[in-house]
Amino acid sequence: MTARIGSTLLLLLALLALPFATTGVAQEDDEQLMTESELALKLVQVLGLSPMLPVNPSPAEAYQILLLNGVSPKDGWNSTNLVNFGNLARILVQSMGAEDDIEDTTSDKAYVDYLKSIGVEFGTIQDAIDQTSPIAQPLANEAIKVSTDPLKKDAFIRPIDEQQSGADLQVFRKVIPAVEIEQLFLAVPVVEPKRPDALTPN
Amino acid sequence: MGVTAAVFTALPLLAAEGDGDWLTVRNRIRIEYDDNIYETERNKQDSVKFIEELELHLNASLNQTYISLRYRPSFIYWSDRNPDDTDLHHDLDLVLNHEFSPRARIALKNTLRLAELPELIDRGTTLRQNDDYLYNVSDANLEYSLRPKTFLRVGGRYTLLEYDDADVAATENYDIAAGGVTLGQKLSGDTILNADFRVEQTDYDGPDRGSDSLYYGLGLEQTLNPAFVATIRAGIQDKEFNDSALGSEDQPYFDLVLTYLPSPDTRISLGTGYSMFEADVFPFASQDRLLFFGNIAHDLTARVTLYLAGSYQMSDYSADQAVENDRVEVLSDGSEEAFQASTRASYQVNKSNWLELSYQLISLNGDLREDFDRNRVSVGWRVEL
Repeated sequence: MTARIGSTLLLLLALLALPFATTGVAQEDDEQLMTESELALKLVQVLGLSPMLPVNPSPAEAYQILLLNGVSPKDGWNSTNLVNFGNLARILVQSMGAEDDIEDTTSDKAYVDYLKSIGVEFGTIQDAIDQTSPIAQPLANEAIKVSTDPLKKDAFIRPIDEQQSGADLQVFRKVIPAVEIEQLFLAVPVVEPKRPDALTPN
Repeated sequence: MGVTAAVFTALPLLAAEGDGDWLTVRNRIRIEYDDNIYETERNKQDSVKFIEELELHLNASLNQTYISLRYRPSFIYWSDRNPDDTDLHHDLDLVLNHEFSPRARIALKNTLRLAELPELIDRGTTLRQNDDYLYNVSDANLEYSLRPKTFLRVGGRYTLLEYDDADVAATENYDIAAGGVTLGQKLSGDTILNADFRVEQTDYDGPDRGSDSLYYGLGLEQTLNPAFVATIRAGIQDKEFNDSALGSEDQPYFDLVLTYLPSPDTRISLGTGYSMFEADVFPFASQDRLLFFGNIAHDLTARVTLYLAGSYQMSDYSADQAVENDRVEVLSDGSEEAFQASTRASYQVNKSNWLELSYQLISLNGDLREDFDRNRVSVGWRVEL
């Protein structure tokens, strides 16, 4: 089994090298176009949510934590939809925690007008992203989530009293003392080495 | 640590290139009453605690590179815990993402936890050993788009757990190396189908509770409606124990997470998962773990938010999966249930200050270790600078 795992890891390393062979490619021209999944992956970074997510989160993992923090386009997250100006304004307001200040939440214009009223203007998607700050009280599942994926599974061990996102939880971890182990299970009896028979002279 | 120091130095320079807030400073002070600080069934010891927690979060987002460094030390003073009445914990999280091209991106993450928890000695008997520990997880992950709707994700992870106390370390220290590949296909804007393959090698310092595992599975990520996202993963885990007497075991595994936004004021996440997992209890080499969890946040008003979180874990241990050792012999199977719940009310005083009231419960019942209930109530003040 160890040999199988070793050869598999070698294969993975080879796969890891694959993109570097092609990264000399120039950036695509359509930098102004961005899908909602690309925006979601950028947003979790600028909103300070990355430490609460697995490394290189999937679009759905990004959507889930953004939804938990009340950030969503008008028609929900869709991986192939292109980001439009109205949704960008909506997401920016939600990220600020200011959606309660919007009277008509069905109107994109209300969000754009609100941003103008507080002096936030942007010409490109990157402009908007650059004006986004980390969420003050982020909500995440990091304290309670379970994953069976060995590349993502959350630790069952965390410092006592660690502040968690949302409600506080101390993830359960208790080391069992040796005394307790020996009380719970049957202690292995100590066997005295057998003494050799006394030698009798011939 | 060298990488972290370099990031600390370089981050302000990099952040100056960007426009956003690159440094967030938060502080949280709590006064807490804890009714069972040693998690015992009888002779419970209670204590009032003063908890000071500082969070420094450096966050720099450049055009193609993102760096996040979060350091969170916490200091705890216990009014009734002798002989050591203070703890100091350190959390350090580093995230480094880089986009080589629109088709290729790499991500690195390191999670470090250093925690103190002193031993408990009663009338000359050690009731609980010193379990100060270092826990570190290093992740590397690369995603490459093979075609517009097809991507490949390759990842590796190394986990290390080391206790200070030699006696604890002898049975609890472990390291886990894992690697894997995911091939994903966007079926539509709402649906992504993944095929996963993973390898995992777990090694313990002491009696060999280690194992090698292979995982074969499928995953589905689905936006069910604008306010409802679901992820599901399922497959087969083939686990071969290092101790040849334990043999090997094949079992299914699954994860399900549902996130729902019924209204802008209410956010809900629910999930469940089942798999073989590292055993919490020596001398077992594995446990079968089923876990449910949930997280709800509701904004009562623009200033008052209620949070509720909980998890329920059921673990089964088989005597057939207990390793031979010179300390104890396991003759029967065992199981245990762990329940946790937490609720918090937060009142936003102004743009940067919050007052908090929280309650937490932990309960353990089973036949492998001492049952206990632990309740904690706290009031706190949180400020963002």
